[in-house]
Amino acid sequence: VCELLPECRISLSSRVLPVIREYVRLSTTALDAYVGPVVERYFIQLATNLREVGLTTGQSYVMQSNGGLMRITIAAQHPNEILLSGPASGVVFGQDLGRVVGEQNLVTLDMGGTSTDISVIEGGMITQTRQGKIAGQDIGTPMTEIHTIGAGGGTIAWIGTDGLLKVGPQSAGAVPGPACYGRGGTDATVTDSNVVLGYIDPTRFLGGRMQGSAELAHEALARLGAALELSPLEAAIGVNRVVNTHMAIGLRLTLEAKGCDPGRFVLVAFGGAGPLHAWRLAEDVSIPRVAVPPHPGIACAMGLLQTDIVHVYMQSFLVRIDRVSAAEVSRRFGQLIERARADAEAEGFGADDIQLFRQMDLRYPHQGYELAMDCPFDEPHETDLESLRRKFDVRHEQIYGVSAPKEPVEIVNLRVRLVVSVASPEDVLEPSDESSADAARIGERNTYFESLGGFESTPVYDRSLLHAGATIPGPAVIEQLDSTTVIGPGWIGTVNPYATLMLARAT
Amino acid sequence: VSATTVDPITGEVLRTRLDEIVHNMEWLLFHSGYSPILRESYDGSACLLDGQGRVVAAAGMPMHGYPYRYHVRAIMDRYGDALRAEESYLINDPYSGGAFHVPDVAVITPVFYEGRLIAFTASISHKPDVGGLVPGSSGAGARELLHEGLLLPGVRIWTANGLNEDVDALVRANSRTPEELMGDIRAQIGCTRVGAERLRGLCDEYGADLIAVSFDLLIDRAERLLREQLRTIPDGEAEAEWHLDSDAADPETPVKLRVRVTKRGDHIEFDYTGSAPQTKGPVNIRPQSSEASAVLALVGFLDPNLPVNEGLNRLITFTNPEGQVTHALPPAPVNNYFPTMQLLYGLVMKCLGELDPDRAIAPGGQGTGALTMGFPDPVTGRSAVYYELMVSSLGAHPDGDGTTLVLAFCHISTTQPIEIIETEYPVTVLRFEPVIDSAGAGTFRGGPAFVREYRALDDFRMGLRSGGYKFGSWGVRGGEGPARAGCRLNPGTDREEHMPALFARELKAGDVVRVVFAGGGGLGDPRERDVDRVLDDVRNGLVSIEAARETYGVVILEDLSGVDQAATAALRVPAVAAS
Repeated sequence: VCELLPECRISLSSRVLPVIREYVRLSTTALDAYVGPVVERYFIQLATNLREVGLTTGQSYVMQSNGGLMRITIAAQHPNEILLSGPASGVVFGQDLGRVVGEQNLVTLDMGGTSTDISVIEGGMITQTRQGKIAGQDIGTPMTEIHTIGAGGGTIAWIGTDGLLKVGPQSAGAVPGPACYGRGGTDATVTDSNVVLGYIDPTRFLGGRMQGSAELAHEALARLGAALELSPLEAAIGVNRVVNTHMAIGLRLTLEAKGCDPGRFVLVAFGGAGPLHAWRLAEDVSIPRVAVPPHPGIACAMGLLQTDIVHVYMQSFLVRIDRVSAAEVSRRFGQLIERARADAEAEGFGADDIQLFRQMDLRYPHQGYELAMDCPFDEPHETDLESLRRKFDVRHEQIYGVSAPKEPVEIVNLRVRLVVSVASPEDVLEPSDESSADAARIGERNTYFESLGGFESTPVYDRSLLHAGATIPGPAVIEQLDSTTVIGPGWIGTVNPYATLMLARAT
Repeated sequence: VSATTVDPITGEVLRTRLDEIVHNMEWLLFHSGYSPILRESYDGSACLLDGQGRVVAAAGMPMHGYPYRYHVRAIMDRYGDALRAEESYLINDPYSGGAFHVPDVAVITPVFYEGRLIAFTASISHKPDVGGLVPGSSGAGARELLHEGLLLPGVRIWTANGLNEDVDALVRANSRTPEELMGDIRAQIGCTRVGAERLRGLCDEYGADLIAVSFDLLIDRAERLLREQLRTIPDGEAEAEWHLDSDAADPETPVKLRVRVTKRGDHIEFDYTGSAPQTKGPVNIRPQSSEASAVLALVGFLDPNLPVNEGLNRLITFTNPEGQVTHALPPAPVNNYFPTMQLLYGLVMKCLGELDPDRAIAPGGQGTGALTMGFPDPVTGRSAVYYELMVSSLGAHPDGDGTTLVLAFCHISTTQPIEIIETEYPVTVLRFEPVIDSAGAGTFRGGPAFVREYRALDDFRMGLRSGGYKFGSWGVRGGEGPARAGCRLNPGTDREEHMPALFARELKAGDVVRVVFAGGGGLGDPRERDVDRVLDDVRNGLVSIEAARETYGVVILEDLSGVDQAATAALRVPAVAAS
């Protein structure tokens, strides 16, 4: 084909996705062929334009769906690797925040205007999936596993034909937006219910630069409630409960699918609406702590600046783990590592710049899905393989409720992950001579808390005036330009040296 | 509290939480199961029933809702007060329990809270083999239930000490695929026990009384939603009948199925009186099967989002005389239930379409069922059984063409990936492609037929249980019927044979099996089909230039560059004028 049509871009399934199951491979290859020419043209143009305007940097990278970067010139050849890179950057942000605050197990909650993205970071590693979907098409390219729920600030509440109160997945978006925006929206949204409950002050959207109306929010919820014989307040409480239930279910299913105990996790809440709902979700899912970054509204953009270069190398290697020698496993990992090193060198990185991580996909024979197990060794010994096998039994039992320790275990794939750290922006460190939160207190307002039996006068703080070490007991509301954080009763907030607001259950 | 006083917020919260439990169970089942039928074709499900054995919520294969109620009733009858929280039970009997056929093994786990039986969690998954006459257990040769595999009447597979090793050994000894069978059963035990734990957690959170009320609420809700939907179709009566090719025992005699649907107000009756007497061969079905066919057709016709639970039964009556093929009595074999159920489904759809023609849907292709190839496993000496659910394309609907290649009324099953088949079995797949001019023509056409051709690399036992090879299916409102399904051995050679829809026999390494999955029926006059759609179909190889002209009245240019508008107009005018 190259000889006959030298100008033709070729998508070859054995290059795009060299793994078993023809349909997913075909679908992925078709996506590659569909977006390839556009992406390629765009990136080449972009690279040229950047040079022309004099923007010369060694760091012109493109985000991949797997949460890593690749050079822009390489990305042009692998468009299927970047299709879901936007949400992935929020997960990278969470991973980096975990690194800074010294937490290995995190679950990110990115709640914006139309939807919420949830993803699990375990042991500092982002979860990858090979069963993604984009625009309804299957895509098998390894990517950051993200569970999306149709629940955001603009999500609309309505009454189902079964007479029950529904929230979402339809969203009023930014225009007309929630009723309280006063842009013509009349449907009651999640944001409107947060206004009625006192969590959000509609006169202070964007730090007061946008004027909303509490009255319009009340009217919208009154309309919704009337049909259900509920007061506007009852309707607002209902919208809040239902949307929180959806998100809590999303969090639980995501954690359970990995066999993770929520008690070991930190909920990283961002997106404009995440920090408002986070404490309640953490309580419902039994996650003991919540981290709210300094600028929740721009977390995804921050993530782009914090990500590393990542390449994944995989080899199918179907063999019983008790019938393969450690030397053979070592040899095969060695081949993958050789490829990784060669690629790193071609990208201009030396041996000292790169980190390598080994993983094995294991299963019982006949199973169709594998569990990815980290290999905590460089050169494996026979005993390492035995102990990995036992860890697999334990993990299988955690996830599926049963295990089969007497059955053999198969290796399906070997995987090597190459990571090259890219310089990130400096971590924000605030001086901490003034650790009291009092100076940041800008007023109070009535907010609703179920556990307090109704509305309580609740202190309101300005996030930008909070210093490291400040401690704020719940209930409290913390406002900032891009988000509002709520600390529920029984919770306590502390600003850590990295300007992250950590919420925990008060003991 | 009662179901009528739960507020619309708590109701919605509890509804989604119960849904979470069954979906969690379903995920666990599909991800930890062993057999390709379960993990690639998703022929399994998970269910939550209340303490009285009423279905509350289910996930996975939609038609399993009906077996569950019969299974749990059987377990309750058998154990009564002896049910224990630490036990799980294994059941697959189509007569004393509710299985469609013997390989659909169910695991039932009772859920106790504070010493009280509050619910059951349950899972059904279709097993690759549970013994019987042929690999895959279900075969054309069965003449009584005991030919169809090991019967499990509700025995303890899990006890306070974990897996019951006696039952485990017994089940393994009666299967050609013991590892896959027990691997799937373990996945079912795991998912039902995790589901039970989650439900107890929900009781901790909300109280067992409110959870019991939420079961009523979900059941009432389904009734309410169906009631509203039933009011949208006119009252009336409609009848339909069609034939299965044969029962395999008597290859020359077609087997009649007959349905009469009577809809009055918010009530609907399905009457199967007049169907053929039960047969010697295995095309019989049990009430759980004939009921599931009608209810799924009704739900599909009215609103596929209707929850399928016990609440629907309050508005539905069945008349189904004993001793008919639609209500078999012991010891009649039932393993080839699927084509019978699918034809019933199509007939119920046909009746509903006559009651409300604007919503009529053309039937999917008849000829679904399953194909099995049993090979001696070179490693273990036992057999490996390749099992393929036979799919078909769907019929046209009022808004568009029929979808291709799904199981015509279990809409979630997919064909097995060829690369999985070729990796795990001594089989090469030679062809898998659409058949030209096979879709039922219409203003909207059905999905096309597909051909799949296998070459065996080892001697094997072939089993096919399907139907509709002689009678096919039909079109609606002026649409045409699709190409029929079929099976040929060694096509194009001097050993070529046309096979019936139901057979089992020994074949040799190198033999080629060609199977055609049927297309779906068309809807409306083909001559009113949008010209550009016909052009697309020709370009995509689904319709020939000849058929475009003869059937659709569209003249396509030889180089496929476009349509001869004048010639097309000339061809189409008389048809339009006539209508």
